[in-house]
Amino acid sequence: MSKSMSKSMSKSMSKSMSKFVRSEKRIEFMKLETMLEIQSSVDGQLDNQRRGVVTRLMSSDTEARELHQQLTAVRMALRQHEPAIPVPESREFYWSQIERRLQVGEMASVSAPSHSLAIWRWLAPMVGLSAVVAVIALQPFASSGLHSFQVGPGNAQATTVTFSSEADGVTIHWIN
Amino acid sequence: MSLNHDYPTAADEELVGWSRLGETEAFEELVFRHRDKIYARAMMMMRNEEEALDLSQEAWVKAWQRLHQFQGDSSFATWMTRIVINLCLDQIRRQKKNRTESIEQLEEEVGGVEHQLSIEPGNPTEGLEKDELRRRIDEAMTKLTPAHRLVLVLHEYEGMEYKEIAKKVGISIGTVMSRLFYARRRLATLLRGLQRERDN
Repeated sequence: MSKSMSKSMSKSMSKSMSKFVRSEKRIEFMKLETMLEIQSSVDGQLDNQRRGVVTRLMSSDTEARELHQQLTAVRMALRQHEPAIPVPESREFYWSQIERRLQVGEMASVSAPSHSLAIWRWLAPMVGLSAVVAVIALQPFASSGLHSFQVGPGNAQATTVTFSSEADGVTIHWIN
Repeated sequence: MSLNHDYPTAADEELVGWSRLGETEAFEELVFRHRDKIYARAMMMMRNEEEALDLSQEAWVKAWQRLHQFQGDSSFATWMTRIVINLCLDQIRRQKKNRTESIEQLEEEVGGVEHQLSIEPGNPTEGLEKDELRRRIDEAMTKLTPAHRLVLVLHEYEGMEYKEIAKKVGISIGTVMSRLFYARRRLATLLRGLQRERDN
């Protein structure tokens, strides 16, 4: 608990206690801050000094003592009697659903495009463009007789460029 | 893939190790051992069978994918419970965005009514048999708002301190204390009511 909160609770608690002392008429409800301080004591979240104040309060005030007992009883009941809620499905059926999700997950990771493929999608048009530039740049060689270029029958989908070098005995095809 | 390991007699840590190597049978054994606890935690937080089933299964899938992150600092069951709790919290946050809180709920959260519940002397759980008490607690938990139930579950069943809950849920420590207080007082009242019902 923060020091500021503890201080404010301490002040509030002192006021609350003094009301008990000064007034013979019992106030109807304890201050919320005092109640929360009692709860913190039940949960073991108070330092020694604050715990001492709460202990003194409980020894002088029945309502504080009863609240402490009630909160402790509920805490103990919850911790010691956690409701057992079994899976309402058979082992096989429950596992089959998990197994299916695992398979779907694996398939998704396999079919998902890898980074290198994703990059290749961007690079492919650029490579095609480079090929065209290369064709233009190598035009002078084509006329030398040693090499020849052939631009294949173009259609809307693909263009084929073939580069042959008799001297080197190489033939390269670019397909866009 | 099965390598003739004796899964039912193996320790959790061994099963985790084999699961990491891709042995789904080892992982299935872990699911079989801890499924009730994981489902119960989801059910306790969501109070909806369909959601609890879905989230608990999702937790197992997440666990399979993150097995390499399990260092063995805590038990496997504790590690799994934290996964399912995080999934439930995400779900609750999503639902909260789409839900308008009623005035009563808001009052409860800011501490408008909890201190007005009278303090009755005596133990509200006294005289109740263990099984009956478990059933009654389960019944009473359904009557709490999700916000109060959440704080109660994290504190009582997960053993989290106020500060830890505040960080996890994204609320102030004061709100944690106030919600916890209200939830306990309400449970005490509900259990006492059930006790009276039984006595009559």
